[in-house]
Amino acid sequence: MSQKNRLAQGGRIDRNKVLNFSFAGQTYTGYEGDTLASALLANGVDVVGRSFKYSRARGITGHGSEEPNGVIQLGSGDSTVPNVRATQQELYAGLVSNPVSGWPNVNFDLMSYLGKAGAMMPPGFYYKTFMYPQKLWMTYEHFIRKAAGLGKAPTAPDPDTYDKLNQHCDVMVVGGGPAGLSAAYAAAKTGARVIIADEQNEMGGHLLTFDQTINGSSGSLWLAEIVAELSAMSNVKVLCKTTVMGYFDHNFLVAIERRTDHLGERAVSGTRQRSHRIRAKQVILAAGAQERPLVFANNDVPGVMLASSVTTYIKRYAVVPGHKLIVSTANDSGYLAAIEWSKAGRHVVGIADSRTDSDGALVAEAKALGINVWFGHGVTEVKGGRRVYTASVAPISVQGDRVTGDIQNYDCDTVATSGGWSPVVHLSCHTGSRPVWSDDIIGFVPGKALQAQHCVGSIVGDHQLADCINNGLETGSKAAAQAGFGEGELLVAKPSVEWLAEGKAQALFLVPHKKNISRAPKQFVDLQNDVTAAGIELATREGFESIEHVKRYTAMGFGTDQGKLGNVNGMAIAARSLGKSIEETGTTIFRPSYTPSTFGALAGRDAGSLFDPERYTAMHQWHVDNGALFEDVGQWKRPWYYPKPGETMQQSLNRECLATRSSVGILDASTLGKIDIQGKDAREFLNRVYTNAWSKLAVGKCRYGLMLKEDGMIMDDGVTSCLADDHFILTTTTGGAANVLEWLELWHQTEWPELDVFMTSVTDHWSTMTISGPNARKVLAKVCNDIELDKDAFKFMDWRDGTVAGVTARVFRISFTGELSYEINVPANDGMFVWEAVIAAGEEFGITPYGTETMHVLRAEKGFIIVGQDTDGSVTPYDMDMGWCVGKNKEFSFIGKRSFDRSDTQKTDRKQYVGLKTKNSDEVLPEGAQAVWDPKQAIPMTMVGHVTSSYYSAVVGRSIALAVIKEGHSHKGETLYFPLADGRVIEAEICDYVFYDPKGERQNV
Amino acid sequence: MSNLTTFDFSARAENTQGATRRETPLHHIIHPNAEMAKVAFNEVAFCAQLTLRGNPDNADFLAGVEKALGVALPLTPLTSHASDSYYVFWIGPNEWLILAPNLAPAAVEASLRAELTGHFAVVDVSGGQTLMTLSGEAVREVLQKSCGYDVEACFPVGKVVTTHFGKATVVLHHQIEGTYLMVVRRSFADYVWRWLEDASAEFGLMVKGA
Amino acid sequence: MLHLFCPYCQELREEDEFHYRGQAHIVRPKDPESLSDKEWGDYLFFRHNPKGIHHEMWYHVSGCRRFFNVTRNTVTYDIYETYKIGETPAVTAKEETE
Repeated sequence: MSQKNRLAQGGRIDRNKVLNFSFAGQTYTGYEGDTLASALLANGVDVVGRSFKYSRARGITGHGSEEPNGVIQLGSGDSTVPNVRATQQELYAGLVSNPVSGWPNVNFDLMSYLGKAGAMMPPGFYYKTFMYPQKLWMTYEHFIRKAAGLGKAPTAPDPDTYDKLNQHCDVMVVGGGPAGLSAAYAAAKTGARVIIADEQNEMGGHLLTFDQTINGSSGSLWLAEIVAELSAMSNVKVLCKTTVMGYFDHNFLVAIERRTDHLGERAVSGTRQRSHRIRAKQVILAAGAQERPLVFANNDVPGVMLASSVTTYIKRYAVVPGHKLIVSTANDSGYLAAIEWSKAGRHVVGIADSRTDSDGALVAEAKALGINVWFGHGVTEVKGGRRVYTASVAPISVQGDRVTGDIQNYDCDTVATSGGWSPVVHLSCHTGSRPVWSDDIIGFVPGKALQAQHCVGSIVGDHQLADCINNGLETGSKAAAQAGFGEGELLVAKPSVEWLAEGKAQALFLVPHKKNISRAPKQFVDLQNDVTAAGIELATREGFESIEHVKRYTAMGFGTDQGKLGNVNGMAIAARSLGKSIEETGTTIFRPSYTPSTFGALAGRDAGSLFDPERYTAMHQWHVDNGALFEDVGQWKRPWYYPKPGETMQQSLNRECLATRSSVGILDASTLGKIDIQGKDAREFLNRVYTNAWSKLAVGKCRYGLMLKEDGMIMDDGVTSCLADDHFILTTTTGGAANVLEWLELWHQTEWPELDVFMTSVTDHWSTMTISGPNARKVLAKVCNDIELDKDAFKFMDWRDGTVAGVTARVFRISFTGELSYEINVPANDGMFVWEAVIAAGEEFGITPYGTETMHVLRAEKGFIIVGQDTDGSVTPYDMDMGWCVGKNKEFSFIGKRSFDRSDTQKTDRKQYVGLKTKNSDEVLPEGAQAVWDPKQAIPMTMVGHVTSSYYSAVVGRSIALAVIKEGHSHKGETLYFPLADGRVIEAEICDYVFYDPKGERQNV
Repeated sequence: MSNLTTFDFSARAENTQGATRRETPLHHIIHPNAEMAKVAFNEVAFCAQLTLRGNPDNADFLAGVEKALGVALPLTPLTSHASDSYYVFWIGPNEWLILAPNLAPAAVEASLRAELTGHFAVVDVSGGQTLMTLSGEAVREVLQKSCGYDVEACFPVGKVVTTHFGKATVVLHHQIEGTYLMVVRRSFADYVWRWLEDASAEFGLMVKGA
Repeated sequence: MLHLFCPYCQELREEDEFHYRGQAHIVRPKDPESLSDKEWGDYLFFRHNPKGIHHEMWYHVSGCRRFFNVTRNTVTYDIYETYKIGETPAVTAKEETE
């Protein structure tokens, strides 16, 4: 199909590079340099989607991120992206696109018949209609979502890669128009590090569509030179196709660069998108302004466009999006569309200018071209379904609030409107600065800068090219000076720039209709959310007076465009309806992201297996090779259990548990936190941070300790060993290692700096393997000949230095299983070798590797607690029946001690640590199950505690559980009930928490 | 300036005299080297690493360390000193990291303990962390992908910073122009390696000795 | 993301290198046993929540592992100063007398 709207010459496209693409299943051609929108317009595609609520046909309206209608599903399969603006998507060969809205399809739409049948959908419609009965909401929502069509997320993982780049600069310039380029240039000349970013595919902004004379020749020449020079400077980074999506605290900005989205569906090499995380000393916002449409009846019919977009399509893409144009404007800039349309050789029916007169240069030029100009007029209504075919032009009052005379209807297919320019204040708003209304420029401008921020160009209402360039240069130079570069004096000459005489613009937002707002055909304010002027007025009548409430009630400013096109008009209409000024009404708050960002770009490299560090021990590969399944413990990958072929998890656990109880098992315990403490006050420090006493722990001895928070609740536990009188090694739980070190440093650095201690983490330095079971000594004896292993020479809770398998080792005789156990510590580089040597030595005893699950079962059989599982930050040592571990007579009031006397910790009905035996010995209680005394009581029942640990114990031959139960210690032998979510009620008896070897003899053999 | 400017490649797993075997955290990595690689990686095997703690206001402590190592402790934040046998990195106001590529950790510890009195701490951390060097023409971009620190303008040769690499905490040292030394905790080594492999893919990566 | 000047490293670092540790200048009572439950409870649980100037403690966990204090405006997030433990802030709120 031919590109019927394409001009033979002009534009920044390459006619030699023809690109095929498809939209909604149809194939078309365009050129390199096109956007999807310009290519669709070139091919005469009028309808690109259906509207959200009324399902009306919609066409391309704008040419940038403000586009509300041309929102498409880009690509196919796993790399598809929903809600891409066709106006921002560069065309590539084979591009596949589909509308995101319109069900069943854009050209034939069931919903529009509903609309025509008179279905009234006022604002708040969903709230009013679909909320009741509540149980039907899911049904309604499904239908609404399907009908609204908000794009589809891919179902498979994204095959492309994304990354992040951390950037630092002295001056960050947002926006690559004349003002931004000038600012970057002046700043760069001082030697400052400069980054300039622009969301378009090339730098230039307004200069790309409107050429003015600079230094006596074409502005495009000046543009090409300044871009070339900036690109060549080593202290400058020029980022095209890069949207600054957020402006955060302390001059931190995030910009998303689309690196390959213009080349194809998939990134051939490298990353598809990259987020730049930019820390800037100074920020210059030169983001420009977006044209505001005029609101009038049926202004959503395809063919109604922004005037600047019409100009852009003609000048930049050589596309004239129609044949007969009418312009409706309240300022001079709207004339440009008519001038370029006329120069392209197509018919301009006329320009309806709401003002009484203008002596601007563009007005004069239009008149000179013979274009009809109707001052004091506006387009009040258009007619058309899939395209405009006629426009009503009427004289309107000077105030712009009513039609004053006869209406003329003119045939046309395109209506270009300009209600003025809204500065892009979004980024400035991200910093918390509220924008300020300016009557002079008829728009909101950035409010007071809250960070090291400058604004220049049309973002502050400067529309003259000369002002943009000169102020840009000065702002760049000033910002560089404030970042420590130069004296603030301009190091480059200001160019001479053609001045364009301009007539004064009028503040017009809604073009009056001969009927009042509520009776006129729909006058759309927010096209993407189908919010009309009548809807806003209704919202204010229903009592929504705050603009934030109006927004939420009507949905104005939601969606992919976030009200870029409609918000100011909506606020003006709300203000008028409330009898307030726009200044009093204010704006809603703009928040990041400025335009929709992909999850890929935000995630970067932090995805998949790199999402969070996976920490491995030195023996990790052995576990993998021997079939271990892994459990995440913090960031560590710990062997969970080692199933043999055909074994269920429970079978594997039973085998591992029984092997350890009857012969010997081996556990990789390297992940336990280990902290080296040196200094003459180490004992005193331990006395203060642990509940128990350390003054008399002799060299060569180990002791279990409990660490509390100041509120008296258990925080961590572990074994600490005395290496020398002033040297200890402390172990922590695997998950608590980093927190405990930070906790110890906190107390040392902020409360007790006078104590001579130094703490150093040695968690990773040591590989730790625990051999446990009645044959543990025999195994160790085979690989260790320089430690006296006799039970009286190397007692329970002793440690010894020596060698294991020829490697320097430290061996601790401590036990978490209740069996004879040795913890062998060797430097981690030797860990794998020693592990393999111990496994080989244990072979004759059937040494069995066991994982964390068996470790949990074995310790539960002994009633040993796991901090964080049996405790939850709300239990004291006394609750856990561990008063034996509290040194009540210590001189120093250790951390947490005073809290034992608080009324809460003294109360008699605290939850206490007990064991549970289910009535049916095969039934295993779910962990977390809530206990009640009477299962027949009314709901909500009085809950008296919960299960903290629960397993099947092979050695005991029944299920066992640990729990915290109110006053549990005095209720042993009584029966509790556990009503479960599935309706079952499990019955269990409270018992002692030690299920195996209650006298603790096995660890001492 | 030191002769210890670079760490050469050495085997990442080796059998020692007593018929034992030791392995670096990344002894297992296999990487097909890219042609025209712009990023070069090397894991420095078995370098002695010790944490030294002490009071920088204590002249005896400073003198003792200098006597033991033949190099003064760097007292200016984020700086390093080097001698023929040692690198010494400032880690914190009372903490330093000592690297000795050609010495046994126990020997370094013994020589320090022989000279120091009063309140100090020496801890062998050789098994707990590994050293990696990064170089090549795209090395800075790889660092920018990985670290929030301003490696472009704030990181002259000799400087040492503790910062994030991805989500791991590392000590990063600008060794010679364009060559960076990174100290990584052992358990994070695989994560850092896989991150590096991914981040370097677009530039081409070569592993020395692989 | 905040940019914090570490008074030990003597340079600005990104927020993700730090841990926030809450209100600064809370001193542990010398003799906890002599305190009433109310006094001990105040020490344990009650914290300032000012709108405006706040003195708070941060920990340079992925850095020099030092604790230090920050004077920060809780409304604007402006940081007025950072200072070492034991030092007194130069910037204080007027009503901050206790």
